[in-house]
Formats: sequence, structure tokens, C-alpha cells
Amino acid sequence: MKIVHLSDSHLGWRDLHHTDAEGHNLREQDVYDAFAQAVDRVLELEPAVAIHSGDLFEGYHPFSAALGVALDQVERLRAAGIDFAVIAGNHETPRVRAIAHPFSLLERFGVHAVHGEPRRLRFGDLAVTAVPHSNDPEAMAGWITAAEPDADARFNVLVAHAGLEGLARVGAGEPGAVELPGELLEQVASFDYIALGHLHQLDRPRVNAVYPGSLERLNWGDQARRKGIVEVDLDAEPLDDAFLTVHEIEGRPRTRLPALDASKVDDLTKAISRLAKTKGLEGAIVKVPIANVSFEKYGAIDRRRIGEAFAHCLHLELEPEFVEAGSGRPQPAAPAELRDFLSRRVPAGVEAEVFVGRGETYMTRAAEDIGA
Amino acid sequence: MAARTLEPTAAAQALLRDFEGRYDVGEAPPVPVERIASALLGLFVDEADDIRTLPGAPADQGRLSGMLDAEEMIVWVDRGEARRSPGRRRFTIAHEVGHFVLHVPVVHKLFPDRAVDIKEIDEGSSAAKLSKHRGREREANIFASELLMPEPLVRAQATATGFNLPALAKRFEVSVPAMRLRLRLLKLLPPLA
Repeated sequence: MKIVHLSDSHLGWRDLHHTDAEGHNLREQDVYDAFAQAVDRVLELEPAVAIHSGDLFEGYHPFSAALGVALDQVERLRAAGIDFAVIAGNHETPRVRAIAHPFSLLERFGVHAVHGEPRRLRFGDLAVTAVPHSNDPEAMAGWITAAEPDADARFNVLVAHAGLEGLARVGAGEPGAVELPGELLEQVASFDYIALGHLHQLDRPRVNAVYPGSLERLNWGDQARRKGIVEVDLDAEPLDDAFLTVHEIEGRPRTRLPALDASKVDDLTKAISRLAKTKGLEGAIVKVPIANVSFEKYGAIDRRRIGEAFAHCLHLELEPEFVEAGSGRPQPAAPAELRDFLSRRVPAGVEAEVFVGRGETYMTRAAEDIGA
Repeated sequence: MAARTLEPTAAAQALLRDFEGRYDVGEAPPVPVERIASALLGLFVDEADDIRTLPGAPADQGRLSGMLDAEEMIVWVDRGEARRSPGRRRFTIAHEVGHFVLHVPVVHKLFPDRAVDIKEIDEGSSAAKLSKHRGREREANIFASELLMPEPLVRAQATATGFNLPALAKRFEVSVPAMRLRLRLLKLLPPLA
């Protein structure tokens, strides 16, 4: 039996200011295109079920365009006789109960959309234990720990949307995100496959557990070499090559060019413009790091000229590293300095050590996120 | 103590065998690297807010993650880094122990190490092809990896946990990237991982 696993489509996500002739945000369209491509692949592969492990939508108030894309693509699957099951991720889960979950709308259109609490779905020989995101990490860990394979089913799949401690933080660390200890996977090891969502890079934290990653690169932290969906052959042994196959989908290229050392060039505008001839930049989002640059030299860059040189790219971003003291990328504060700073700002009624500890944790995360 | 050898993998294995023989410890992760440093080698592990301010430490090489002072028999570890990542702290200690076993007293008495020197995921060229400095750093990294993640123990635990990367990293008290590389080098990493 074959299933397909996809995740983190983030329909409705928007970025940058580039629009098409009708005013649609181009990056938003990229995300819709990636999801349509993923569904194209699913239709080619003809699995029994397509499982989406969360963050179908970017937010819990999805744009009508995002809802339309979701319903249109799900309809293509339904017309082909392929079931589609999706669990709620942290992005589409409202923080307050009074707000209706967007998945309640999907359910009315026949989608197996699991939100609020875990549910078991049956698709012939396959039982899917679906654990949606909860804003209460302990509840979610409890749901996962309590999950047990259906003894009557030939195959059992567990679906959950959470990070795992120690893994890459790409896609994690947002408000409401849940990070669980890796040992939790040992308690559900008897499932044939564990379909995970939340991390944006393809990863296999356990032999039978996979994050397919997001369908599109949403930020510079996502260094994934490829994007795609995962085909799982449940008849194969987990260590067999046939167990997992990644089917790539094409996203918009995101290219960080080698750093330009400004101290070694006289005409910075010319040097940057020359980089536009690098192969593979058509339609790409491009970043040019510029090392050892002074404020004066950076300010003198002719933006119009480099804009023309990179006109074949979607977006150009310069990343200066200034030579002047105290400038450039923010650096994490030295530990003693940070503790001192925080300990002088402890709010009333809050335990100092807790406050300082939390501040240090956030600084560490921020430093990791910017690669400091 | 076992005879000193300049082959980092064999040296780490010999050190571990020596420790296990003397102290009758069970073969279960995590490897008690600090105890090995202190009980077996007589090294004292200490932390500093900024290692560059210590006597003899270079002030012009950027922030230091760790430093071996072989004369005073002290392994210095950056306090902030240690607090942020206990796994990184252990790797730094194992790296400095590597310098002590492999390179003292042949080369120097002081080994200041920047973050770029102590690589938990050092998979570059072979040490022989690198400059002397980088070659020594790579040897210390190989030594640290072997000491903290001994092959037989990693093999056994990897099989027992279904190659569960975060769980293995936690058991061995190393970072996930360090464990991932170890499994890859031992050809134990399933595809896609």
C-alpha cells in the first residue's frame, strides 16, 4: 500500500512587494503553485491516501484565495478517488476557542480535516491516527504518548505537527509552536510510519518518521537542497530503499551569492552588477553579502544600476557587513552583560532567575536564527 | 595510561578502554568526558566568561570557545557557550582532551581554540592535507567525536532506538548535527536523514 506525505504548504503566506499585472503578490502565488505541483505529483503516483501533516494554511483566517486553492486542489484529488487527510498545525489553529477553526469549513467539503482533538481515520487496510496541534504542549505530548496502532488495521500511520528537540529550527520557534523530546517517538515506534510536520527541511529523525518539509522556501534560514513530497511504501521494510521516495517539486530559486569583499574593489556598483551574470538567477530571490564595507561606500552604491543588472531576478537583497564599530548584523550580548541588563529590569511579581533565564533563552534562539 | 599515539581514533579508543578498565564503569552513554579528563588525565575543567582575558591567551583571534593550558593542566570552556549548549561544552572538553593526548608536549603548551576550530561536524579534508594548525584541530575533532560517541556504543544504541537522531543525541549528550555526522560516517544513517 502506498501513501503520499506532504506538509507545511502555508497557503496564504505573503512576502516581498512584487505583484503580477493584476496585483497578486507573487510569493503568495509561488506557494499556491507549489501546492498545485504537489497535487500533480500525488495524482501521478495514485496513492491510497495523501496525508498532510499540518500548516496547510498560513493563518487561522485564511484569505479567500487560499481557501479557494485548497478546495480546488482537494477536489482534484477527490475526483481521482484519492482520499486527503490533513491535521491542523500551529499556524492555522486559533489561539482562542471562540474563533471557528478554518478546518471546520473544509470538513463541509468532505475533507478529512482533523482539528481540536485526535481522531482515528480508516481508509481500508490503513488506520491513520491524527494528532492535531494543540496550544497546550503537554496535552499534545499526552495525545502522542497515548496513541496506539489500530490492531484491526494492516497498516498504521501516526500524523502529528511538532518540532523535536535538537533538530534544525527552520520553521520552528514561532508563537504557539510545540517542541517535543525525541524520545517520544520511541513510545509510538510501533506505528508503521510517523508523518511529521512543522520543520521546513526534509528530515528523517527516526527510521520510520519523516518531515517532508515545506513545499516552498519561505526564508533564508531554509537551506533545503530540495523541496518535495514523500511517497511511502508501507509494504516495504523501513530500512529498505523502497520504503521512502522523495518526489521533488520546483520552487522559486533562492540564491545567496558568495560574499563580495568591498575592501578589494574600487567600484562597488560595478562589482555587484557583474554578479548578476551568475548562472541560474532567472526569477530568483538573490542575496549579495558585502563584507568590509564602510557606510560611505555602501551609501554610494547606485541602486538603479544594480536594479537594472538584476532585472531578470525577482528580488535582490544586499547584506552589508560594515567596517565601522558597532554596526552590521546584531550580535548576541555577552552572557554577563545580558544577565546584568535583564536583572535590572525584572518586572514586579516575577522571579528574577526565571525572567533572566527566559531572556537568555530568547537571545540564544535569536542568535541561532541569525546564525551568530 | 595507554601509550600515546598520534592516530586520533585509536587514541580516543585507548583512552576510553583505559578509563573503563580502571574505573569499572558500564558501557552506557553518555561518556563521562569530564571525569575522564580529571580522574584519568589530571586535567581540571573550568569556565570563563571570556577566555581571551586569561593569562597567555591570545586577544586578537576573536572569541575563544575553549583553551587547553597544558602547563597548568586546565581545560578552559567559554561559560556562555557552555550554558547555551551542554552538548557543545562536552565536545569542547573532549576536543581539548584530544589536544592533550595527541599534541602535548610535542607542539605547544597552550591551545586556544575558536568556535571555528572546534567543529562538532568536522567532515572536511583529511587532516594530512590541511595546514599544521587546521590539521591538529581536525585531529582533535576526530578524537572528540570518537571519545563521545564510541562506535560500538553508537551502533548498539542506534539499532535499539530505530536510528532516532534526537533521542541518540540526548543519550550521548551531544548535538543532533554531531550525532548525524557520526552516524553518517559509520554508514548507519538511513537515506533522507
